[in-house]
Amino acid sequence: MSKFVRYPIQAFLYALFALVVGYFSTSPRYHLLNEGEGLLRLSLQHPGKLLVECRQRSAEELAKMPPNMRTSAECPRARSPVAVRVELDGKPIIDDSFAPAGLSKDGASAAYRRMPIPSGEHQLHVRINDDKKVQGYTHDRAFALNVKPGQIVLIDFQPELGGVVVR
Amino acid sequence: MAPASLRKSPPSVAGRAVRALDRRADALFGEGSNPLRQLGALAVWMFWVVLGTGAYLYIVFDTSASGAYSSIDTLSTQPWLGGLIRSLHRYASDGFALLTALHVIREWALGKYSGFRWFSWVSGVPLLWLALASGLIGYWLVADTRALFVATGIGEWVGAMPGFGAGLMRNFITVEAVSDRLFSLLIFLHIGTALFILLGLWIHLQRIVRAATQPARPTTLFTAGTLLALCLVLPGLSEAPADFSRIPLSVPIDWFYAGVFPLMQLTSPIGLWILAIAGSVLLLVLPWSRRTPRPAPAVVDLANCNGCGRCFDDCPYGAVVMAPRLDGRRHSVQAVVQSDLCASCGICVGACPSSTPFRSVQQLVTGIDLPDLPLSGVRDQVQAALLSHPGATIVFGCDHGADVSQLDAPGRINLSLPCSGMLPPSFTEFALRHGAARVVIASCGEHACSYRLGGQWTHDRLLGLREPALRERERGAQVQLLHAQKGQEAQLHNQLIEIETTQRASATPPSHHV
Repeated sequence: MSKFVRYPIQAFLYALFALVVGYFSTSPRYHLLNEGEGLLRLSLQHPGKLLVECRQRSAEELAKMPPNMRTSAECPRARSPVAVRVELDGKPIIDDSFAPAGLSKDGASAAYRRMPIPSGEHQLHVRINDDKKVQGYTHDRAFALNVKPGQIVLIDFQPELGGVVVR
Repeated sequence: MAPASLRKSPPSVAGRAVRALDRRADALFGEGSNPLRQLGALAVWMFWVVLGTGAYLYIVFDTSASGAYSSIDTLSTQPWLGGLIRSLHRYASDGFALLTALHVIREWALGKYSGFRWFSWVSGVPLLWLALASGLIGYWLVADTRALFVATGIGEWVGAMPGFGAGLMRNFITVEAVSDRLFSLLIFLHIGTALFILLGLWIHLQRIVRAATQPARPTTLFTAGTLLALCLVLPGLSEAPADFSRIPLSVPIDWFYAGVFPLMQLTSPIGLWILAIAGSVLLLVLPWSRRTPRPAPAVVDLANCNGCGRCFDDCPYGAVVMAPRLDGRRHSVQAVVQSDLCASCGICVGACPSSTPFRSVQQLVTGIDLPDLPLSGVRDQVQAALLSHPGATIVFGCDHGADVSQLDAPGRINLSLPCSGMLPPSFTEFALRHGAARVVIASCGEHACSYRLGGQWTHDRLLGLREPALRERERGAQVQLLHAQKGQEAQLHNQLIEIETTQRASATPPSHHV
């Protein structure tokens, strides 16, 4: 094959390599949302209440225990799962229970969900139960939202801010 | 002699396609500069570019949460230094990913993953994970909307693993959660994984002697030129700064790395883990999926081994080591074959000074030999064939090159060896003295050898550049070295006819003699 044929083909193939690298480096664009949608995110990390309340040991019980382990209260570590129900315009979009972390189930429950929602005005109702012993929900809050396209609505749980917050 | 099925397995459809592509690319680029034959070396070359440009970027990178974005984005305003280096870093990383993927596909298609090659294959699998991790973390450092997409993707993916949990996402879901410490951790992980790739590459090449980690000079220059041109035409730029309160409708993601996340959206984080782990396990067990019988490894005959070390020098896979002598002879060392590493290519047999067919012993026993195809058997075959066909052309072929059994013609003797490198140069002289009119060695070529170095050593030995060398007086028109790969039987046949016709008609040697 003549070099006058080979060299242009070589140049073309090297350019093709560059084209593949350059194109897939940024293209095709990946669509995260449809036109006119926002994103609803639920992200919380919260320890549920202890499943069993602490109990005072009796004098007989304490006497049977080794001296270095004689603590007056017995406190089982296991915590309640955290149940979350989120309704958007009256329709449930999240209704789940999140187990506490750790082998002894004594850690915080963590939840993460995300879903696109249409932009515009919405009624958001978030209810949380962090105590299995309580029927119904321990935290309940409603929000009126005006979601803009591309806006992220984050549902969080901040006890110091009064419980359920939307950011 | 071992049946052909023991010495070579039939190529797969993918293998035939790769070989056909190789032949076309050889014709276009030249065998030595064919990029398809250097995919691994090209990937390593790209990695060096990534490391070099990364060192500069590390100097200018601000590891604070507030400064990370601007420190990288500012580079775009310096098109001739910072911008170029930044673009090179990105495109070389992409080139590395692309070439690595092509390297894996090629080696798989050619069946180069099982038997003695298992270690190189298996040790390459963690490198894929490390490359993915390093690439993704690198995009995170830019702190733009693409970085946020990658961060969210990693958080959701890793968060799905037991032990991490959904709480992981909270570290980068709001602007307050992102601290300077996060970027310090990310740069540490980015560089750390890159250094682990370097270590992994060293392990990956442990069983490859004289590993080709540098592409041929023209390939290196053209690839570098291509990347530079790409950087100038399409400079790598940042997107808008990451905004935790807004999400763009679409993101220009780097599909070489972040392409895993669309796959995760299609399935689920757990689904992606299942796919990724299943894919990795599949790759890891692939070497043991083939039930092709393995030919017996080379064996050393101490009585004929003087410990010269030529087999040690020539073995392409480091299967021969030199160890202290055990038989009490005066030589200080002896060759020892590590069976697991042996390719049974016979290159060591061709290197051994005892492999001369002229030795006046009843039974030709060489210092190192293949039990399935002993050199004495080759000598007996040559002798017997020349007794019945005096004046014939004897063609020594390679099991992995052009199939010489298809070249049957009157006055021609065809013998195939596992590799042309198995043929000791003195065999050509032996054949000529026993009545052969000429000897043709059909090698795969210096850059296309299935056993990496056989073609190179054959060339060098016949030209007197490497021991054992063909004697100078024997080099001439009667000994020819031709290059013919599988599928090039017709071309080889035509070349043989040309040689035979030319030599019969004239004493003038053809131009392509050794």
